[in-house]
Amino acid sequence: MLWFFFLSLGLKLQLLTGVRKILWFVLFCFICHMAGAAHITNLHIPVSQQRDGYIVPFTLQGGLIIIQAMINDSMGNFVIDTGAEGLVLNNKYYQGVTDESRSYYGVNGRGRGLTVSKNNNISAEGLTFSGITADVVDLTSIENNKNIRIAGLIGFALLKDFEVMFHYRERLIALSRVDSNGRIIDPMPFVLDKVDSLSFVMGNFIPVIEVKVNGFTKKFGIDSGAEINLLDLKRSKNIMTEFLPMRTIRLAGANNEENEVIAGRLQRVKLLDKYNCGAMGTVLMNMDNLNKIYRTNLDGILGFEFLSPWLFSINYKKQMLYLHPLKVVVP
Amino acid sequence: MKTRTLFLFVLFSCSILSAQESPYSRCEIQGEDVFIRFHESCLNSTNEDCAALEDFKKYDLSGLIKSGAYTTWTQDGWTLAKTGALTYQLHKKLSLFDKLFSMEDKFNIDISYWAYPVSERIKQGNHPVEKEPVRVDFKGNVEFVLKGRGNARQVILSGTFNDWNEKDFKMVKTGDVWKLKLKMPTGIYEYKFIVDGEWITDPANKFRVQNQHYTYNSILVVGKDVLFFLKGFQNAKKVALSGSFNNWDEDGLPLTKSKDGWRVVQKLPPGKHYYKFIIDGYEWIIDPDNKIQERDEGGNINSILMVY
Repeated sequence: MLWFFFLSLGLKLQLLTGVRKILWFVLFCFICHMAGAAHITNLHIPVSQQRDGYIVPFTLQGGLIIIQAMINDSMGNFVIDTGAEGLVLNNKYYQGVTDESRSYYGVNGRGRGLTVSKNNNISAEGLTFSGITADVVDLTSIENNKNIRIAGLIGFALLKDFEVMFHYRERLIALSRVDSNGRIIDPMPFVLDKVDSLSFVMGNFIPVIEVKVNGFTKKFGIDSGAEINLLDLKRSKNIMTEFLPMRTIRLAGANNEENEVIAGRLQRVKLLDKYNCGAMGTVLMNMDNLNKIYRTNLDGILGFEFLSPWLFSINYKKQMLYLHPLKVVVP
Repeated sequence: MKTRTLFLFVLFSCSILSAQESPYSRCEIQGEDVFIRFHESCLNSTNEDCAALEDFKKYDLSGLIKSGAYTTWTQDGWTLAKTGALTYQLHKKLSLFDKLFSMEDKFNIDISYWAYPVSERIKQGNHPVEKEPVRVDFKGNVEFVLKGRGNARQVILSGTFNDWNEKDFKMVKTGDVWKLKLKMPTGIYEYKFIVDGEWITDPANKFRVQNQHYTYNSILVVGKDVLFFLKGFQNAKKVALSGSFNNWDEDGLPLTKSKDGWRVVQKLPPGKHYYKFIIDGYEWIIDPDNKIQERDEGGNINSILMVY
């Protein structure tokens, strides 16, 4: 039908533009038709999967988003972590094999031989991922700090084919599957206005946005797995006046080493040159390791402190972050 | 003359004594240096004003100061120096906070360091803390009432709390009034009544929001009762409350005068709220009894209230 529409339009134009142009136009129509066919093919998903988007409720443990998911026939708690590469499983409950081709950055620098677990199936609220390879790491620190059993983390590789809406107030994430161009395939039963949008780039597997801090443009990773924002010690000298230190704290690290960092609040952060963020809990530390992992030079990480007041969606394919209106009461 | 001199001396001495006795600790970054400046009384205090020193309690700084050994003390790059009769400072180079941070370290940060204290203003009601399904309950905390539709055969309540279900929440007719009580967690909800198939907003509720169909939904805020109290200001003719929860309404919510001040109870949903009091319609002041404040872009300071 699309093809005939363009052809009839082309015939009308023929009278105006001559034979050569109509030939080009017919070719254009044919390309459009093929593109349309391809698009329809992409949309043609099995009937059993045709549905609305997926709404996954969560609970907050501190600032961490915890969902319940079925992993290989057992239920477990997972952290939605946009700062993680993909599926990560807790080595307390899951075993894996060493993959020498994978490398990691630890406190002692770069290491080889990450433990992985293959062919995992994970599902939540009707959304299923099959044959997933997971990194297997020690996540007991989350369990100890949150006093909750944590099966793993869900990160970029599982989220990248969706537009993901984070609704901290209603405690849900809404996932709409998108095609390769970022167009929504599984729409939500509700439509939220997009009052604003900003593009991001991927720093390896983390979305990276630019914000202004007291007028200086800074690059921050969006990390739903970080409860407190991070600010790099070396790259933040010009905005140090906006970091209000409170005290030093010591983080338990690997090999019983302690990592002393400065806890404070970061103020005057501005999004899209117009949205002011309140002063946010932030830790000042050395981010060299994280920047190697994210293969970029981040000035910091924005986590729960930044994200929770907004109602926003991340479209990984379009690399766009959308802001939705918080309900404005109209008298 | 002598009397006046003596009085000034006593006043001066008192002010010094007062300044010296008040415990404080401050963490400051100046250029390449990190300082923690504190009053000696903080060494054995759990006062929140001494929190910046909390990480150093394990070092027995009191013993070091008493013995005089503090002058040669160093630990993890920190040194200690005396800055006044009873005041000291810890110092460390900023560049020494350079230990590498691994991916999992973010999970080791204890967020309680940043927690705003839960306000004592929040009256503990019967509202469930975590999400529970909304359900019909004759002892519920929210009652929906629709008047003026006595001739209707059926009225259904539908909203965001039940995914706009068109069947479940049937309202009950008593006389000419339709009613339904629900047990609802705190939150902000949208809802409508379906009167014999016709979707209408709640005529008794002026708060509405436009929906995707370009019609309106009624808004319901199920919040916690928060007491706002302003001590004193007995000479004021009126006091109002304005904040982020009423779009900084310039008229504000009127407070009621009492013997010791002004008060009003407002329902607020969970979250972070900014507010100020308006005295006699023109003077905007922060809450003098609330230490938690933030400066906005324009440099104005607002009081903050966290509702959980």
